Amino acid sequence: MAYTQVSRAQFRALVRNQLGSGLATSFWRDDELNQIIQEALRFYNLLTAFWKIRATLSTTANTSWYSTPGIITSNMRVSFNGFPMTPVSVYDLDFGRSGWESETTASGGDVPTRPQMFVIGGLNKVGIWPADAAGNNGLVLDGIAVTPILTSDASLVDLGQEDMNSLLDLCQHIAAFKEGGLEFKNSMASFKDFLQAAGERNGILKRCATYRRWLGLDKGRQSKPLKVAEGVGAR
Amino acid sequence: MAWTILDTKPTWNVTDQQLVARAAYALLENGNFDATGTTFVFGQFAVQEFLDNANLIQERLMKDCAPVVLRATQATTGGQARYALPQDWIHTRRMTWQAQTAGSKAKSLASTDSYQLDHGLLDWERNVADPSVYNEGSDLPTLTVEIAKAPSQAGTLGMLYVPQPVTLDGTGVKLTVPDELESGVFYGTIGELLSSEGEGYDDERAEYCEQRYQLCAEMANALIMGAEAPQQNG
Repeated sequence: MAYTQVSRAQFRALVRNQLGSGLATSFWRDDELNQIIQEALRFYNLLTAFWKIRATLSTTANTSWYSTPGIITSNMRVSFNGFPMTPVSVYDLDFGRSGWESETTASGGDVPTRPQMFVIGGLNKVGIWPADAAGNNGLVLDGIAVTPILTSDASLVDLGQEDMNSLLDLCQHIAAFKEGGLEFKNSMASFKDFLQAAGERNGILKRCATYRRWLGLDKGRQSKPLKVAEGVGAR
Repeated sequence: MAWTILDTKPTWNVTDQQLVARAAYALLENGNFDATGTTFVFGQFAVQEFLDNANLIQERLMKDCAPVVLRATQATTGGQARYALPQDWIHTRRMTWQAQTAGSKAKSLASTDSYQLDHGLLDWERNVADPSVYNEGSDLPTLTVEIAKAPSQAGTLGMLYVPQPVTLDGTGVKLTVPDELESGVFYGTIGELLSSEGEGYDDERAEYCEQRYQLCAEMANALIMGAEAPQQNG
């Protein structure tokens, strides 16, 4: 994948080309397109987890819950002193390991001597089991980065070149929203192109009911039900 | 007795004024100028109307996905089953109870309701024990939680809960939800405006906005729960 750095000014120029709108004071103002670009980047990151980042925390003795650093939107993996930890759900721990929050690496018995599992309590909260009894050890979080914020025309964003087309499709669609009517309806094709490209990047997206409805993915299944009502009588 | 909130509400980067500016463009309320983030030029919609709806939508998103949680604890007394919830409580993500006795562990409580209690734990109102369930059902007063059975000894309730977001008032307040969920708040709010009675009524775009909100909520759930996120039926 060929990565490139695109400035906001370059990105905006590409969006203007897409919209066929050449002037800064035209129907779409520069400031408006800047905001559309920012919205598109954030939406893309939400759907595809495109930007990733690593953050390191220092553990506190006997502490199970940690606040996720503000540079991370969502944790994807966690490691403790270089040992990868296993992701589990709150439900798994609560009902599979009752009392887990009170267990530390010094508890003994069948409790491991280093943290083995992590749990996502919310986007701002990660828990570990067992808690580190000693503290001051390294907890490394790999997660989805907060979407880059383009504050000036010179601000750069890392993007794969192949991502630009689908992002331009999205920008065109967002820009058409204010027109409403037929123009907006026609832009749905661009939105679907964007969604399809996002779905290629993130398989979880394809499980979303809203996503599937937009792309009409379930229409074929609905028109050809697996079970056909049987008639009564001889076959 | 009051809850001790162990965390502060996180804030990310998107401000209410940025949302207002974005809405001014989307609703053609900027006139022939750059949007200021504080005014709508034509007055088809009011900025306050936008902010009121943005607050409702952000709260709805918090309840639908629990993207942001806080931890809180409260001391419990032997024999007392009911406790007030924090004032900014929206939804309980999990609850634990730990006896004061040295060496006891914080055990998670399962969510239940009074019907299940009445039919599955017949003596729950009369006897005491280590609590195993909590009830926030509709038979309780507002902002009250009941643990069952009532604890037989002093202890500590622990809670991971979804708080009310910080109120957006148009002065540059940052959203309580992460930047990536901005589109959920924005389109949810615009959808409310476009579906309200008035000259700006546009059911087609309002429906689109609702779908954008739903997609955002589904993806937020996926971020929190990974591949096990339940699909929403639509």
